[in-house]
Amino acid sequence: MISIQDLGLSIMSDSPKSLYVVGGLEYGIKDKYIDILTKFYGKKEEYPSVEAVINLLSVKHIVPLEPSLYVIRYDESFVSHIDATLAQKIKSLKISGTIFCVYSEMKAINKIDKYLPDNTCVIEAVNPKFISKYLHQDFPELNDRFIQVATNCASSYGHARTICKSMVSATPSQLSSMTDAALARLFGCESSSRESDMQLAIAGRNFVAASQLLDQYEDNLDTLVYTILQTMIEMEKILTSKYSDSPLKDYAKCWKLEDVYHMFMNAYAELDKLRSNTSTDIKSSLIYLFGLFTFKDIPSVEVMNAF
Amino acid sequence: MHSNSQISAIEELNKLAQTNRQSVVIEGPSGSGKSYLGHQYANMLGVEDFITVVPKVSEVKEALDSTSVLGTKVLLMIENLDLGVAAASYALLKTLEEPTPNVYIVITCRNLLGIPDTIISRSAVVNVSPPTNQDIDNFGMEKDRLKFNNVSSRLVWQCVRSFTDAESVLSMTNSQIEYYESLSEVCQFKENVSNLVWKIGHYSDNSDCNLELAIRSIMELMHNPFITRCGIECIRDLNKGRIAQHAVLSRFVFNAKYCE
Repeated sequence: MISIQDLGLSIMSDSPKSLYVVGGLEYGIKDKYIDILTKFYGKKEEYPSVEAVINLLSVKHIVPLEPSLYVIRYDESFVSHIDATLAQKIKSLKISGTIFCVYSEMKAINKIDKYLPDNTCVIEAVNPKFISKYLHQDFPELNDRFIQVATNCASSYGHARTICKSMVSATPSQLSSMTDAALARLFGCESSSRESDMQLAIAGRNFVAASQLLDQYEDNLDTLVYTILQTMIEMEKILTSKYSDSPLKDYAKCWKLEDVYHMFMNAYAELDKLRSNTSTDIKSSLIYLFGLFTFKDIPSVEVMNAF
Repeated sequence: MHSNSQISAIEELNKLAQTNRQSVVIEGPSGSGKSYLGHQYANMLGVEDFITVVPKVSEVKEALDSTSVLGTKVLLMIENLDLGVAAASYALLKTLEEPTPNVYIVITCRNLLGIPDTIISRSAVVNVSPPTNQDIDNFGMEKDRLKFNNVSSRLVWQCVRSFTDAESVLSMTNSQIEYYESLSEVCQFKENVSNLVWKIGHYSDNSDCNLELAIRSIMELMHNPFITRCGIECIRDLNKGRIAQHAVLSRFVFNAKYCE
């Protein structure tokens, strides 16, 4: 596996490699490198799988393909099919441009690294000092104060970059009229830890913790129903995927796929009621949904409707 | 040229124009040509100024204020009022009770139940049916005969149920048209819900696809009564616009993956 320094040097050189497989949770750096390579080649094409790019490059073209950046995101089939033969095939392929594969899960990267160690790299969390330095380079039009707000609010460089992009889109007068606290609120900084706590309580089927957290919410209670839906989607992913680095992974033992399905359907049914009937009390709906955690097997919507 | 599904609505609008009716509600499914009928009504009345207004309180109020001081005739078309908040409907009430002589109001909606009774009782209601397959083919031929000849035998065209979708398909690239056929791979529902939702909602270049056409394509490809029922419920919820698209699509995928 190559280091992040070697990856950066290689990408910024005049002759980038023909393949990079980049993993880790820091998507901002990956985006930054994709931007650099896109500028280098003048074009970027997104493909659903490595196989599709190999097929494209293996065919003789009457008009030769122009050098290009081929981006492939989260191609699980490549992870399951990679072996010495496929790695050799890729190495021997005349690639006009660069193939850039993006992953977030370590297991995927570890497997690919066995066969393509010179092309694989992991980018984990970036030190806030570097985040601030990178943001100054990326957004010279933003002053120190705004860069600092973005760095403090964000959980990663990618997140901070997205905040800065939003700030750049606003007019200077709009931005300068807002205090640091107001900007932090605007970008959801205050509520992020509360929301992740709620997600953990849901994932852990913890009725007491979820109910206590509910008392701390004053507004936007309906977003909590979406948090339940999102947590169930995440849980389904954990239960069905071999390569999961989700922070909720430890709670997978609390759930069976049937429970995940019924919990999602119950939350959806409550959301539908809330959206159709303004007299439905959102807090009661949430307590009802949290109450379902206490059943050994989460009942279906049909069973609950029968009561 | 009007489609067969619009003929009776056109006749009704003609009668209303003759009586100089100032407030009309046009009800019909998404993409059935309600906005087109609004334009036709303006033509029947001989009104040249035509303003389209989204159902937001501020927009409705501003449109009413700015047009009431005009000396010339103007037609305000408030699109899909049932999808807006109730306050947007109530902002219209005063004008409907005491109409300004030069202002005509056409309200379009997908479902009359989403419009307050006080608005309906002060307006003439005209219904428009969904277009037939023949209407959609005629529309495609009229709009772009060459493109229509290329797409009419493709899966995505078989899934078109409205003029809006027909227009959208006629402007698609070949790879976008092929995407809907490639959904047969998704139909095996082997991946996790999160990935499937992403794949159904996006073309291979990651841009957003037409969700309704994607769901209909899956229904066509699978020919399964249960999936068809789930698909219809999904399209109904997408059209209602009350629940986030991502959640609606996730419900469809959950059902298709785990109940079938």
